[in-house]
Amino acid sequence: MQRLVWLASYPKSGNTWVRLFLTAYSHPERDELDINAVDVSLHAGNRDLFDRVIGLEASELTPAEIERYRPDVYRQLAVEAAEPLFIKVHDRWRRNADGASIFPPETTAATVYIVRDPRGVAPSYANHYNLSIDAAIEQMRTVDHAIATRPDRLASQLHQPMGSWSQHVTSWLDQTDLPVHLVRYEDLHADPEATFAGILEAAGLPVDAERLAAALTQSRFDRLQAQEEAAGFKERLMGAPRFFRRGQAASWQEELTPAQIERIVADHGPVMARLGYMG
Amino acid sequence: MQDSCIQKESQTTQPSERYPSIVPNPNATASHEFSGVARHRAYGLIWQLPLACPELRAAPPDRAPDVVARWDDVPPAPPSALAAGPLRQVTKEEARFGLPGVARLLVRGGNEILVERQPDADDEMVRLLLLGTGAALLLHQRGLLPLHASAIVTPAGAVLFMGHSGAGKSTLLNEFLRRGYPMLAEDLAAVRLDADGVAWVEPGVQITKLWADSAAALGQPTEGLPRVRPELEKFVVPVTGPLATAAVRLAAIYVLATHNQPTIVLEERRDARKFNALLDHTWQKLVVKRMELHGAHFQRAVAVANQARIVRVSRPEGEFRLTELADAVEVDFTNNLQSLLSNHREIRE
Repeated sequence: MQRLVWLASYPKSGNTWVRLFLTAYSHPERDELDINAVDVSLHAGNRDLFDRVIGLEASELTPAEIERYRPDVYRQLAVEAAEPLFIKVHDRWRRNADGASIFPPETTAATVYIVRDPRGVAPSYANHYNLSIDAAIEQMRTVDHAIATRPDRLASQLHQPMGSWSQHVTSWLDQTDLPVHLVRYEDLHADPEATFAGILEAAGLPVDAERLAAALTQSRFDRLQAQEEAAGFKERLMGAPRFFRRGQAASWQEELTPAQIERIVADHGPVMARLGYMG
Repeated sequence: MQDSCIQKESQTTQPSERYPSIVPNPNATASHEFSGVARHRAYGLIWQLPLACPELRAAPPDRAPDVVARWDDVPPAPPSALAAGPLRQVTKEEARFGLPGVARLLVRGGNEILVERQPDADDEMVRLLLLGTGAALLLHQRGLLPLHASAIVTPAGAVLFMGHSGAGKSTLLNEFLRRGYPMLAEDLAAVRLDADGVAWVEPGVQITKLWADSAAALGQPTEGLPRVRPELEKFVVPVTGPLATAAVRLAAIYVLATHNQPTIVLEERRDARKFNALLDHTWQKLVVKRMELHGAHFQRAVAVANQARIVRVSRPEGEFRLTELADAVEVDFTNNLQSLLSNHREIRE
């Protein structure tokens, strides 16, 4: 049952913006988008989802055992989904020890990979996780970096191997199990109509110009920011001053020091070049 | 305080007094080293089990078992069985759960569990399956409401801490045990409605499990404590305070959640939200409809929602603020003691 649409990205690359747009697009009857009532909110690292589908708590299992059963969780979702189901993914693409893809091709309707210039990711990542920019750059270069790995505590999400920024990008772009629709964050800004329409087409949704325009207006960055200002945003982490920070593709030019820029390019130059970030 | 059902246990209790008596089982298969049966009491039932379970109380010797679990081959599921995720197949009468490399369980009729154990499975994992998934499936078959909650006894009655894995049920439970409240159950709280529709919480597993960071927050040393599984920094922490030995009237349920605000917030739930909280935190929720139990389950959840105070407790994510959280909950059930008790009287009348 090919019902799942993976919205895969390294953190702070525009995933939430795309999910908010998709929510607005799916509800043309609503005049306004409520950022705290996003239906496109299913997360691949959701612990409770795993527990329900497997019937045994992930908190009793080892990371290797959880990896083994994660594909089954998505198979169950695909069986139950009546229409395309978007799932946010921060994991890098990989296989488990049995050789099975964590994101099973037979469940997959489409894979959208959202990428952002790592120089743009770094300040946003630092803000989100309440780190210095240097610490963010360090995590982005760390091979096999993962979310929720502390062995002494139970994290609210499942263990999610991300890898370094370059590792993450190449894991998704170089695998051959799933055809990938690549979206650059910078293109969401530069040409929103065409880029968001491309996401709809990739996901198999009809593209309606009027609905598209309305959804783009509803999910415009200044509106998201104003809503967060007024009512808060539940996906903001405790330490972060705000989630919707600047929403600009090129603000890194003011936020990074020349040395930081140099480090990012040294760490990720080859992959950046491949994505057109070096010219 | 319902003293009659509380058994005082002190640090000097000998393990042998808490652990089950072991008697030879003439039907035991020769393929396993353990050749006896263990008799335990949990969820208001007497369990005859094929391996000793230190997490459960010993059963009194004079009572016949309500549930018999034994090592046996599990026959394949009938064609009519419905899959509930990859590991469970259920019909109205039977539920199967198989974890590769560990065991397959067949739970049927609300009184029988067959356990087909894999050769290399360790006892810890078999017990996790049997007392977690297996017990929850059986409780559904018997018409109890198995909630994902830990439970204590208070002057108002049973108080539950309900939440998904990682919400802080065990940590909060341990804090209340330190404050002297008797323990009812860890992680699975079984609610039974009696003939008058009154909700009772049965004593369940009466050890606690803590991750290393929670143990540290509680000042609980973990050196020398057994791990739940060798691979996990999750420890079995014995309970040295009083344990409830009989069912206690349900008073209140605190649903544990986190938010990105700096304060701890308690919000009483009303109407459909009470009911939804109970459905959302039911163990083995995915099988309920497939076992054709949804009508009865729905009615039980409504009955429980109508007689319990249900409060959502939101704490800042990433910080537990244990003392403040426990104080807020304690103040809430203490302040509402009179209304909780009068609610009990109304239901009786």
